[in-house]
Amino acid sequence: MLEVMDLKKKFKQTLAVDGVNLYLEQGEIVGLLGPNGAGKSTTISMISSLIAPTSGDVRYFNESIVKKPQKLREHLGVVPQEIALYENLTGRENLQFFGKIYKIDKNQLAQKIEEVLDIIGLKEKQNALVKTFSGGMKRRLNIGVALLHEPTLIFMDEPTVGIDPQSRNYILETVKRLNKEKNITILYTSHYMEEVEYLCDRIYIMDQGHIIAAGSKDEIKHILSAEQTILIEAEDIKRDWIKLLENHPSVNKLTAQDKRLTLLVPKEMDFFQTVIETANETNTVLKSVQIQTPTLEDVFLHLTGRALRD
Amino acid sequence: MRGILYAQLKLLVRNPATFLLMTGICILFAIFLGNTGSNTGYVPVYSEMGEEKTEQVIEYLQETDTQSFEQNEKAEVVRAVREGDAIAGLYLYDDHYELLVATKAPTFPILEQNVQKAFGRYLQEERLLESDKINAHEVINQLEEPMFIVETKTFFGEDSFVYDPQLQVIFGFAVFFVIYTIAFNVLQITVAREQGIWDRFILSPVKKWEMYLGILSYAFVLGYIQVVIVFSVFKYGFGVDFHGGFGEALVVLIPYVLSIVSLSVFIVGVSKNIQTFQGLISLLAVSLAMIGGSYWPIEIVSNKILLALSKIDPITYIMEGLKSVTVYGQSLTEVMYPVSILLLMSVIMIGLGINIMERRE
Repeated sequence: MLEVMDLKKKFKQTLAVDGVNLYLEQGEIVGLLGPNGAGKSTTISMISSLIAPTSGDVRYFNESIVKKPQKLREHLGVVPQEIALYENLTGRENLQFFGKIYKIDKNQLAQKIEEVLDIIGLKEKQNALVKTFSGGMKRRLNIGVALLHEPTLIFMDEPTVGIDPQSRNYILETVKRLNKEKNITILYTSHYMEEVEYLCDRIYIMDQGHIIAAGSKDEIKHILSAEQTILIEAEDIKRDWIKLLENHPSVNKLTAQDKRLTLLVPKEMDFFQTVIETANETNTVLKSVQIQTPTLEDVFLHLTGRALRD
Repeated sequence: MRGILYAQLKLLVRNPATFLLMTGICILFAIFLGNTGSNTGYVPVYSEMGEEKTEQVIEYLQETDTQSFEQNEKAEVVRAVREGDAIAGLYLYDDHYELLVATKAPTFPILEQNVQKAFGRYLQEERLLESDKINAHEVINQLEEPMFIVETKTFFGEDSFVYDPQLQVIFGFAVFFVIYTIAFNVLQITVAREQGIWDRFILSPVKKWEMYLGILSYAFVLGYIQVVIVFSVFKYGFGVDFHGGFGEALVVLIPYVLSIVSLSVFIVGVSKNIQTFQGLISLLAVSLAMIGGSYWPIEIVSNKILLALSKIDPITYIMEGLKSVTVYGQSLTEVMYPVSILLLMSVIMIGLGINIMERRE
């Protein structure tokens, strides 16, 4: 359906996107995962024809959209990261306005607005000014606007940033429902690992303008199939202890946060003994030690050496 | 485009305060500075001439129609000038006159000119009457009804010009305040860009020219309505005399409002963000008003640099156009020069502004 080939974008001296390749099949939810500044939004802007790439191509049903974006735009809905709404208009007025912008027939528009309000769960609040909405309600309306012209493809750029867990769950459920019931293809960017893990069939992991891993959830986790994650909680994480573990030849990655340590070590190795011995050596009081199968977060850590939200 | 107009109108209805405030402030300024009978027009006269002669000179002075002259005691003249109730005091003697001034107001040169003209006429007639070689009364009558009249009208010279303080203030403040109304509506382009709404427009079937036209035509209409309201309030509410050129004044306004829309587009184009735009437009509006003759008649400016700068200032041309069709009673075809310059400015600035914006995008 959509194919992105060797896409690059240079802003003055900064190469924000460097040779991105990805594809979307009809009816799937694809995640584009990466930390802030990874180049996700720039990639989305290029794929949605908002900015021209420095080089590379984007093909929609085998036709380049770089010079002729109309065909894609007709079927595309974009949910931007910003709240792209008029705060001094009501929810319904915003939908009416963007409906007019999309040149939806007047009679059809009223019906479409009702449908969208149902989907985003804002029927009761439709006549309230947007500026009185909570963050979650604004995000839902932001999605609603992108649904008005019945797109078959939706790009969602971090649609859950800065909202409460309840609204976040609502949005995730809505995204899933749109995909299942209306067969809408969705490209979903986020730096929340659990969202992508929950929603997406396939995932692209992006960092510093590059795609550093791609595949289904299992395929990506398989990158760490030879490793295991050890989570350690201690009363106090001492510098000496971290140094000892870091210098251990079996430790591939180590991150310390508050009173927790995360280690990536070879799967076949029994690392328990080492943890206990080094803790004793440095007088560290352990609270718990857990071994778990790798998560996407671990994969990201493994690939970049950084946690996703750093 | 209709969709964009729909949203702009809804937003205005929901929050009309800025528009009403700008219109209200403009009217208030014009009332207080142009219509309160303050010292801009009152000139007390003390005379040591005979009563008949004094009345004759005052009659000639009153014909100038820009100041009101009233005979008074010498002490009262001094008091009025000292306390700022009068622009100046006039002492009349048989063969000369004196002007008593506390501080020179911008309109003082006009007063000086008027007094010189009236007193010169009086002296000329006196000399004729004193002469026994010719028929003095016949000559005086001929002078009052000359075969042809030579009139000099100019905005940039130092020759005489007709000054209507009320219209000067009304025109000046209306064309000044409308800059803000228009600019802050054109700014909606930047606001839409920063909020991501512009991206939604780009992805929609709306054409780019429709997007610009929607926002710019709204800014134009709103700015135009504001000036029409201000002019109408003074004409129909306060009975200000537009010298029969009210309709023409409203027509002349069209290219000016257009040029301010274009200027705003240009400023939006060169401004990196909303804050830069706000700073630039405030600075520019005041400078344009000062240079172009919003606050005082450009005719009294003699500084060559300011006069040179005024040639690239749309306010210079709209003030010229408005005064031409009102106080000078000219027709629309006679103001084609300032109108053409305003249209040219509109084309150049809108072209540059949109080009810069598109490049930045």
